[in-house]
Amino acid sequence: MAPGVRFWLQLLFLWAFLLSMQGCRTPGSTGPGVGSKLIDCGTHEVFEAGIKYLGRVNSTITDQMVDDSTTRAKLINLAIEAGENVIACLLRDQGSKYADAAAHNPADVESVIAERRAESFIRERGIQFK
Amino acid sequence: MSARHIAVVLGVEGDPELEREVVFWVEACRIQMRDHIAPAWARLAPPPGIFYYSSSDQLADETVGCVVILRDAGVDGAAGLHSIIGRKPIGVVDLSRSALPSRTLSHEIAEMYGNPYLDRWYPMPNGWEVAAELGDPVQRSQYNIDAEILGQHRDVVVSDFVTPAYFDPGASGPRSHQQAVDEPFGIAPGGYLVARNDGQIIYLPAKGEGVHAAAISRPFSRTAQLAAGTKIPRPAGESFPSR
Repeated sequence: MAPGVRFWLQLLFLWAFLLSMQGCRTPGSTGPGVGSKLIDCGTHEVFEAGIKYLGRVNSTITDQMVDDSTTRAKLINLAIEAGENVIACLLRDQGSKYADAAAHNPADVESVIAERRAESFIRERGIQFK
Repeated sequence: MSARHIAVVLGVEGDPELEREVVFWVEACRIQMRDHIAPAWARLAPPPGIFYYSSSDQLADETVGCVVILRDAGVDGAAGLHSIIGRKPIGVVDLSRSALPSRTLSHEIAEMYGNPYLDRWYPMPNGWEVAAELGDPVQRSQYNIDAEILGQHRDVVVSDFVTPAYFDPGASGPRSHQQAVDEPFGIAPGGYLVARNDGQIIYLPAKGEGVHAAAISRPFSRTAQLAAGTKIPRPAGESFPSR
């Protein structure tokens, strides 16, 4: 194969590969709906869905029997199930209340851990709120 | 020692309307503990965080209390109770026997904070001792707290509770948060006291009311535990579900 053709074929493969990466974002280091985007927590839809997941989110972020990366993976699974906006809004809502509880009682280890995990999930995924 | 954190779990499946209410009850109880109960009882312990969970399995530590809301706990005459399993404070709210379940939840959480191991007693002037139960003497007295979740608000009924001045005849100030009683060891309408003397345990009702005999004879009851010096082992088959 002529060197010129080979170069253009390689470039074509590289372009196709990059295009495919855009098309199949998978949960992992990035996950669903990743990126710096604005989320609106004030909608009726978020409230209705959020109530159903509130208990599971709280149980996930207070679980001391698993490490932070496992917690993150569980939250991503919940985000796939419920929608990232719903889980993000719950983490902001409950996270701020855990932070408040931890500020009033630093011995409340569950609140200290839950606050940290909620905050880091939101920050690492570049989520911002309207 | 008091519970550093309290988990509330709904032991009723497939009722999203109920769950929607319960999450607001829990948030109201968290605010009440932070703003009213713990400041009044600052000498006891800082306020435990109070949160709603789908399961309490991950909160196995014995310094984490757990309240389970059940459709029917099977304890006649008791809308709620708090007790201990091993060294873990537990509470139950019985929806079928509770006129105002959010008030019952608040009552049990207040008592779990004030007397988590059922071993605190205050001396009365007559030589008897009264159990350090914060809700019982004023259990029909209530007020409302605004609870907010995801931008939505609910007005939630919570229970009144007695203050340290209630157990101290020499102290001044309100005897209960809502001032439902105006003297030490007073009993508001519908309320009662658990008192002991020389191994004998009695329920003292409000003036002119009958004795509240709820669950006195049951081996797992609070009174039975108080009489036995607490720490009755968990009976075989007795369980408090967490889902």
